[in-house]
Amino acid sequence: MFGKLFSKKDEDFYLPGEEIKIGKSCSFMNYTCAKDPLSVCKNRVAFSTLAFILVYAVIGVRLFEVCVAPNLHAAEQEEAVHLRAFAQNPIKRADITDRNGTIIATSLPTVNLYANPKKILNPERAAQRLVKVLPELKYNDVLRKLSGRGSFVYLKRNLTPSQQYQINYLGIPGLEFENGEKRIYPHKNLFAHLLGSTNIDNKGIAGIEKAENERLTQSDIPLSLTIDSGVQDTIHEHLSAAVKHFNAIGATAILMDVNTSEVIALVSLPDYDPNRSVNPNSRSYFNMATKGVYEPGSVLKIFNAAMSLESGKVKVSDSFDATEPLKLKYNVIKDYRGENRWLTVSEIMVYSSNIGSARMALKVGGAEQRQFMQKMGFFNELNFEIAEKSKPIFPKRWGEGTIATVAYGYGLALTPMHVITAFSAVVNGGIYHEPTLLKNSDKKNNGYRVLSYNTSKQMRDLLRLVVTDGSGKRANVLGYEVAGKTGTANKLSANGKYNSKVVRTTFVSTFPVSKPQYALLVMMDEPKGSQETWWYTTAGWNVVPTAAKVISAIAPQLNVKANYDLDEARQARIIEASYTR
Amino acid sequence: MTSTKTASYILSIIIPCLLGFGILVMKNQVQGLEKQLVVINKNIQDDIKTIHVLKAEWSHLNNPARLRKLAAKHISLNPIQAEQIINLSALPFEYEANDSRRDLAQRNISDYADQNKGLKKLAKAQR
Repeated sequence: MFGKLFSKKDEDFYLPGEEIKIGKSCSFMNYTCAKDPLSVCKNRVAFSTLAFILVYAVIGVRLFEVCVAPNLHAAEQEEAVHLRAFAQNPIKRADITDRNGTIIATSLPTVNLYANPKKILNPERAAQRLVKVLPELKYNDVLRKLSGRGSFVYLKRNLTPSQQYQINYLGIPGLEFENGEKRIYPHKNLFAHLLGSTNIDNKGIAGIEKAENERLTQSDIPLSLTIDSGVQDTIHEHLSAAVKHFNAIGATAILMDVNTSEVIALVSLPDYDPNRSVNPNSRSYFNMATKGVYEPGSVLKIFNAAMSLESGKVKVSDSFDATEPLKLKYNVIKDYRGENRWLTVSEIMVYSSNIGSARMALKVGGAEQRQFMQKMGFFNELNFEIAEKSKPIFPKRWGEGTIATVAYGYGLALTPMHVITAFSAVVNGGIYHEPTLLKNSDKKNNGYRVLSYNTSKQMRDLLRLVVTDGSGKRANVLGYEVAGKTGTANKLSANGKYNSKVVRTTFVSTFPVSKPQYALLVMMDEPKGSQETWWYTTAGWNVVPTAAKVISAIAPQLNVKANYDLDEARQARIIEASYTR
Repeated sequence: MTSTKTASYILSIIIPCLLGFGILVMKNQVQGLEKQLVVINKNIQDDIKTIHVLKAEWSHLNNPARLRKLAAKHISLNPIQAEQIINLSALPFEYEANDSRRDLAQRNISDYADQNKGLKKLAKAQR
């Protein structure tokens, strides 16, 4: 292009003495190139200009698109644009809620105070001023930390906002804050053994916090449990009152949905406040419901009867000889209060006959008994979402003596959770589900059959008889058709012999028996007799009335339909009540 | 040829200038938005924290033991008993004692008819 501008002049005019340049017209006439070099040059320049303009145009269009175009139709596009500011949840550990969404464990944002001793100019003075603001710190400790060598040392974790303000106000260089969080349990003792607790680094060290630690740290969606905090509180209150009243050293209660084996409430006493990091006596840390293994006593007769009926070798109408103690090779089996006659299967349950139960088991045989116990999960640790669990204790050799003693509840030690899970399977129509605490667990869909439907129905009738006619009379709550079985087990004393004065009592029950919905287990450790109980310490005098109180209080909460016939006096009262205001 | 040439000269100067200005404006906007985003994110985090604390407090205040204490102090309601809950069909209404439902309905209808007759008479008398 520029070549063209100059080349024009040169054609026809020459100054005198000027050198005649070799023009493109004359001197390269014989040059056979198709294009002259100047025009090639021009074309190249034009081409590159075009390319630049194109590139700039592309940038321009894109710029228009980004800056101007969105603003032209801003009003229309407001809904279509899904640009969202995404802020990360500052709380790292997920909450735990009960089945109704009530928060039962949560983390609070706090700040931790740390120091960089290298930056601290005057450790003595800094320590003095710090101790004034935080009186719980000791001057010597703080001074030692501040004059140390490292560049990072924690002074205090989990400051309150006012403490943080005061420390900031001191203006000591070298003191720094770090965001942290502290796990708190708003309901204090209520869920102590269930939830467990976390250590200073927010890592679960007990209970669900430990068992579900990964889930709680990976996602910030709350973890919902099957626990109902209202029911849990009611049971906790009644059980604490009972422990006080019967002067027991411990107690536990579990409420379970029999059809899914979801745990609705789980209480173990004595308990502790997980918000406090002080170490109370170790006994209150012990979870009786899932960690403790106990010989359940007569409660195991339920499973003995179920096993015998299921085997087909025993029928409900069969009778067994309980006229005199049963003599075996190593031991003699006696009844607590013997009837001393032949007893039918239902009478064996109602009078809780050890002799009868042992005879039933011996008739069925050890192999089948073992197989049944295996199916009921009595030989394995439970798959359950609490860190504190135990494996049952059972004899390796399964001889005649073992068959007989296991039939009435000795020689096999189980956790209460084992007992109630198996009990649920017996009464719910014969399907065993693994117990669970997680609301959206798929365990409830993975049940397997352990008993036939008919055996389960027969068992329900037998258990109802125990409550209407036998040792569970005091649990016959009007309207809720309670069925269950009591058990009083003598505790082993230090010398390895059973002590008949010191007992552990259990009552395992279900309601309403016509269509079971819930199973309740109440166990008390070393309840004492009183004048009120005629100095008896058997289950019928302590855990049974406690269970009755619990059931009559929680059944309306759980929306269990009361079912009973009205007598005339009550009819008259209801009429009166409905017409008077 | 000359006009295209001049036009291309002018374009090659003006377009970069315009684009340069445009990019400057955009960068300014982006910086402004980014500052806003940081503030919004911080506010959201603060709000999340506050909501979290409030939720914890709400749960603490809803402690069943505390509610029970308050209920005992302020309202005179007791826990419900089994016998206070009853099926509607189990309620002994008056008609169940003597008449069938059908008789009762019949009687009610004739009662209404009598009432209407009485009203008509009254209206006539008033006229």
